[in-house]
Amino acid sequence: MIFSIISRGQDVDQRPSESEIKEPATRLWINTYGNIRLTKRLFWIAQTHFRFQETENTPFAGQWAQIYNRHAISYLYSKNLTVSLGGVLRVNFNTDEMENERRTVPEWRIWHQYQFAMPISRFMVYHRLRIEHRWSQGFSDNSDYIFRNRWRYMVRFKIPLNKPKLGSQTWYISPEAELIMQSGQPVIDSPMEDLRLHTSLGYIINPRLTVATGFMYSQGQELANGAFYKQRYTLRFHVYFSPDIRKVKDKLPPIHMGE
Amino acid sequence: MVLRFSILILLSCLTTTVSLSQNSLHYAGPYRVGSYTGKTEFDYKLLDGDTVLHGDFEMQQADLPSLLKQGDDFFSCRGSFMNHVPVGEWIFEFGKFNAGDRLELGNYKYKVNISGTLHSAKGMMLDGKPHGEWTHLVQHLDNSSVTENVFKSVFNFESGIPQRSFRIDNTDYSLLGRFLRDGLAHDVWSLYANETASEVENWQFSEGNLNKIYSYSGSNTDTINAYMADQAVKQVITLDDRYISILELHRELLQHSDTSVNYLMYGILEQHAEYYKQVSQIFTNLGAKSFTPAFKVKVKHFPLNDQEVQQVKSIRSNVDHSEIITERLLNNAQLNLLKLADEEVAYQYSAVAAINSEWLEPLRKLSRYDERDILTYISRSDLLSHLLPAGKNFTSLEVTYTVDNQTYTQVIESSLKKESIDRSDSLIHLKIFSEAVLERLEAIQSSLDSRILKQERQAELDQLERALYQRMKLLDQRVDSLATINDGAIGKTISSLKITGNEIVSEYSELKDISERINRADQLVNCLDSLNTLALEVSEVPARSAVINQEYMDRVWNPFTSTLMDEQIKKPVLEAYENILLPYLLEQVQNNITCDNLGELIAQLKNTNSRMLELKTENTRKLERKLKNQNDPIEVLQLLKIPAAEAN
Repeated sequence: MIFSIISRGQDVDQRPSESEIKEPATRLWINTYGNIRLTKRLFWIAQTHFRFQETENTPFAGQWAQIYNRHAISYLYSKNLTVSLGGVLRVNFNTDEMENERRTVPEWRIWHQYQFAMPISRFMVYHRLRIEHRWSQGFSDNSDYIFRNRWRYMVRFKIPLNKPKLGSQTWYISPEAELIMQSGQPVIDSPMEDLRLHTSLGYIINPRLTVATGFMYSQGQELANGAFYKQRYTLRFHVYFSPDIRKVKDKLPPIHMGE
Repeated sequence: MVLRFSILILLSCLTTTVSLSQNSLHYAGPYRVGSYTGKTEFDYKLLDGDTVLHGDFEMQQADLPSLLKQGDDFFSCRGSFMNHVPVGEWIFEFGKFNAGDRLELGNYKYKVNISGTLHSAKGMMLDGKPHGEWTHLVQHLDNSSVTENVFKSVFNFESGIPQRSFRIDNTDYSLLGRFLRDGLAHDVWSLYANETASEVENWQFSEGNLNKIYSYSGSNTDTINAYMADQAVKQVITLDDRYISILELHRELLQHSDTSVNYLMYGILEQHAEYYKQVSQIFTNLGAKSFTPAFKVKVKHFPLNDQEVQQVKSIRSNVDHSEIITERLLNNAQLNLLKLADEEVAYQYSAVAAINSEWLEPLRKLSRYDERDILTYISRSDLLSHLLPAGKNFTSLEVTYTVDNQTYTQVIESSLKKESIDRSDSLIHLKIFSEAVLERLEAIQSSLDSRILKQERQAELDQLERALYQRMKLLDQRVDSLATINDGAIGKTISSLKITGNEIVSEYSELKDISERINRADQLVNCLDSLNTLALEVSEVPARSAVINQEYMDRVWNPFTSTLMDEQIKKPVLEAYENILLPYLLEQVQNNITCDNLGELIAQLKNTNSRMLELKTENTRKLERKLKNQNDPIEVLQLLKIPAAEAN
């Protein structure tokens, strides 16, 4: 996910002759993904992510980092294409609290996404283009909002392990890679915000509920100085749920998307 | 002026109505009278919607193609009606013609010669009754030429009553006679043979009473004092076929004492009656009153009192019952075979035959007399001595029968007492006799029935056992083939049916009593049929179960995988079916089968399947909750509302 906190206390003017890759930090993300069916083709995307990061004494889950609320309306154009549009309210926690700084600040986004699903052999491949328009601010009291655009592309596989196809009671493995680029006035020499390499092991309990866990390595330029590259190891836990709140009669006949 | 005009219009309307109501209508076209259909023209009027023949009537039935092929029944009549009552001159012609062998052309028409018989009748009618001279003439035709007068009668009537003298001629005889003014036969009726022109028979009437019959044959003269002559109570009846029947009956009564009188006059009178009947029938069919020329005679009458009426009724009923029994037994194919080998059957069969011809026959005669309404014209004593003649034995009957070329004789007794026949002229004794005969026949019947029954039952059992064997074989074959293609619990269950079938049949084979065997075999045929059905039913379970599974699967869109996924719906219901009901039902089939609960099990299997399919679309939320903690199959059957019997 997006990592947008500008580390402060770092000398921005100091520019090394070579890019510098920092020591990796550790994080823990617990993410819930809701995809609530509203109509035959419309879904309400409701995601809440709880993100922690290490402290000096505690790896991974040492302190709150962000609470993340992502909502959107998703339109199922076809079995292979879903288009979504919505907003994000993220609460950023101050992990390096200084004097006169706020403990939490909000961050706002408008986002839209185009996901292409491709069945290949037994597994599925997804290409996800996500564009975010993002307003963020620092923790200091008089901090102004800065505006950036994010350009994200992710390729993801879902490979069933114990069944020929993805279905109920299926274990699957899902490798994914996402490149997050950014642009905007504040972005000078750090267009590559993050590169995330993540593999998760999931279990589809039923079509409406899936759980997964995985490990993610990510790397990206710091906004203030593109020469510095952050590294992260993130432990991730995911719960995917997709209730259908339609009345029974509206579910019939079920849409099979031309299957 | 206006008033006068109105009256004029009113008057003219009135006259029109009257003239309309009196207007005779005319019909010309095909019409049916009795068995005749032909071109018909008649005048009629409508009275309250009814057709009332009024005016001339003419009809002709003639069919040329039929004449040319197989011969034609010709009919024609011509006459008049007044208010549906025949009046004036009437001419009838009845013919049976074949086309002759000559054909002429004349006046631009073919003339076809005919051969056959023509009966023509001609006479006057007054107020629906013959009046004046009536002639019936029957002629033989050959190629349209009269070759012979077969019959001719000339009668004079006055308002339906024959008067004065009459003459009837047929090919052999001529009959001359006369009537009194009131139509009673009177004086001498003489019958002459045409060949010898001599008198052959002479009936002497006196005011309707037939006193004497003289019969001349060669130089012999036989005289019969006819029964009508004495002072007994008389009844005036029509000289028709019934009278002839009465004479016939009297002749029968006399037959044993006097056989030399031929009663030749019957023949000619009968012929005469038949021709008159033909004409009368046409009038009846046209809806006019039946016209019967009233030739009157007097006969002795012995009316039945109420008691006797009842007695005759019982006799007839006993005769009817006895006839049913004799007919049934004598025509029974099995008895006819059995009597060849079985002495007892042979005796009883022959007894029935003997009773039928010796004892039942006179009773049958009485029954016939009553049927023909001539019973009351014969005295009881005459009747009794005629039916049960003195020389014949009605108290015992000798029965002769043959078995294996050996002839045996046995005597059967009736419950009739000899003295009661000799002494009395009462019908009561005939009634008692008829009861005795029926009783005897019934006894023989019940004895023979048990023989027929035994044979029939053995045959029935043989047939049932053949069926049983066939069903058993079928079950074995079916189980063998089904068990090989089904494994696991289903295969095991199907195999168990063969064992069950064998057990049931081996229990049966221990039975000894034939009735018990029949009853059981009958049940077992059905039972094995049901086992067969059950085997099929069980073999269907996997396929049905797969269908149910499929039906309880929903295709659900998973937005996280962008795929459709099968999702089981109503899981508790499906689980109850798969984990509780099916194992229970299969277990029942394996271990708890009897012929009595087979139907129930088949029904349960069927109903479980259909109910599961129904439940898919029903709201089962509550049911699912209840099912979650339920492991008792009986409870589950009830919760799912699966009926234990075949749905109608």
